[in-house]
Amino acid sequence: MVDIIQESNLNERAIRARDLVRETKLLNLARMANILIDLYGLEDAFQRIGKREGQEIEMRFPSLEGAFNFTLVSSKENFECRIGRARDPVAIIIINVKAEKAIKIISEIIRLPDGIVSILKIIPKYLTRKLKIKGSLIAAIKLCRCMMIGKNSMYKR
Amino acid sequence: MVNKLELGNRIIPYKILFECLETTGELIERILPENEIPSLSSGLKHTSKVIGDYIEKAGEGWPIIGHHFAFQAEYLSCFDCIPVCLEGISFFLSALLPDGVEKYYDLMSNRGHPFHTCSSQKGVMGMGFDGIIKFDALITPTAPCDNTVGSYQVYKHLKDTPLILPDMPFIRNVESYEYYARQLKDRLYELGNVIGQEPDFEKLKRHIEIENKVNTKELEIFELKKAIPCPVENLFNAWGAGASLFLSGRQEKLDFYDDVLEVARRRYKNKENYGGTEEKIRSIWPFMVVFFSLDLCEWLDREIGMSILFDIFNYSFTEPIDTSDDEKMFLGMAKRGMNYPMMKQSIDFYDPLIEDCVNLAKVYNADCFIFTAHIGCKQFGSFGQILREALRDEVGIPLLIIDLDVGDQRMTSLNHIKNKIKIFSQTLL
Repeated sequence: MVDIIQESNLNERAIRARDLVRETKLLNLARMANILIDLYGLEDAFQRIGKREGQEIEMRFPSLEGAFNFTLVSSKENFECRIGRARDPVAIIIINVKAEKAIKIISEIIRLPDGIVSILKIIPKYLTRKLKIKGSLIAAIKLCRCMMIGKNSMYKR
Repeated sequence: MVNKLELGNRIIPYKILFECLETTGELIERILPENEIPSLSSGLKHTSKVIGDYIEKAGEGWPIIGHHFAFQAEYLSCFDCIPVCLEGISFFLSALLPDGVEKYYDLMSNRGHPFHTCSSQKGVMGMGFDGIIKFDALITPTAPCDNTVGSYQVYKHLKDTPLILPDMPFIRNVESYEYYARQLKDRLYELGNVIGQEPDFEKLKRHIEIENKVNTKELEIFELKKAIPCPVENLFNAWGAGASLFLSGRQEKLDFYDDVLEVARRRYKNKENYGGTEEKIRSIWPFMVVFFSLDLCEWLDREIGMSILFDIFNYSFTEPIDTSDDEKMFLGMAKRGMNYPMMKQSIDFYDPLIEDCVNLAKVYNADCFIFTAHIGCKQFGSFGQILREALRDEVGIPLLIIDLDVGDQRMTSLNHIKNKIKIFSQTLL
């Protein structure tokens, strides 16, 4: 009830500003994910996509009221994180945290070095329901591995 | 009663930019190692602080003044106002969002604004017509291009926004500088009348003095760039431009330059190249870097081993402004304004620019030039070929021309640009 009253007090412009700013967070996250993987991503995980090439995966952010969609590709240069729901996803990853924690979760995945140990590090988030996966677990893991840049040589310097 | 939220929402694009800067900053901090792209992390931190401060002040009701990038923001510091650089907003959002500000370019195209005008101005124009930004006044010199002259008056005639025009002469001599100095002072008074404030030149002096300090540091960075390998990463060029657009006259700009200089000195001392790769090619971009993809700068450092020594916003070798009295200060401001990046090059014949480029190539040991022929900048249309011939004859180095819109990826895609540079760089190695 309080929310409804507060909402009605906001004028149209304020609602627009709020929506644009909220949308910006997701848009900027998608832009940066693309840049980071393009610049620092490694080909290995992409080469292991195999028969899953072309499958769609959705990553939902309920707290940000939006989603990314990805197509699994076998080459880093074709990787693209797009805004919006997937048409026919084989897996849906739900990032079930508050808006302010969403960047932390995404960063943690990207920062990890691609490997089994990193997958094990994600499991606690899965068990505590911060990350929910609907559909193909394997496809979701393959996407996460493509996004991991932790093996880039810059981390060794 | 003043509604802070409502007043703050006069500059929604700043709120969007602030969100981008904060999100990008947090991602970079969490993901990249501490010593990677220091100019980016420092630039994000300081710009975010300044934009956050402006949003706060907008909430207090300070007037919103839209200005051309070549009417430096520090000149507006004689007022309590929020400076909004039109060109800066469009281009920096084009870098930080997946589709940039394309919907606002399209909005203006749909209203009949020619597609080939400068996207830097078209973006914010579209935002104005979409109702997400409201200016109390606009100020722009009558230079450097037809886009500026054609686009700014759209606000005056279609949005009834007061437009202040300091008249900038073409000729550069003592009389011209004195004329433009008078123009600057008179137009600041005119702006003061519009927003109901008296210009405070003592306050202006303090901000000019900060810029003088920045200028000294900038010149030291330019000096360090003579070293092989270049101790400054490519992204500095983009964030140097960003600092000029958003941080002018502010302590944060000085802090940004301190951060960059500290890293550059250390790298110079250790003969260290950025990016963990060898510097293979030293390039000069006599015009702009690609704003819709600032990551191209990083890609060049890492994948090609190509340094960008300068772009047009970063070879401005100006002198400090004498602030001992108002007359000298305004004369210095006029000189700086008329020799500001793109003003100096656009409102003159090509000869001085070609001479500058040839000298830069020799002094900084450049291996090549890359000329981004931005669709909006028709005044530079034939420059690429003339410069190419001059560089070949005088220095014996090649020039690559890329036709594009530096703020709109739909004209020439990033992949196309990368391919052109890859092939060009193979001919150099």
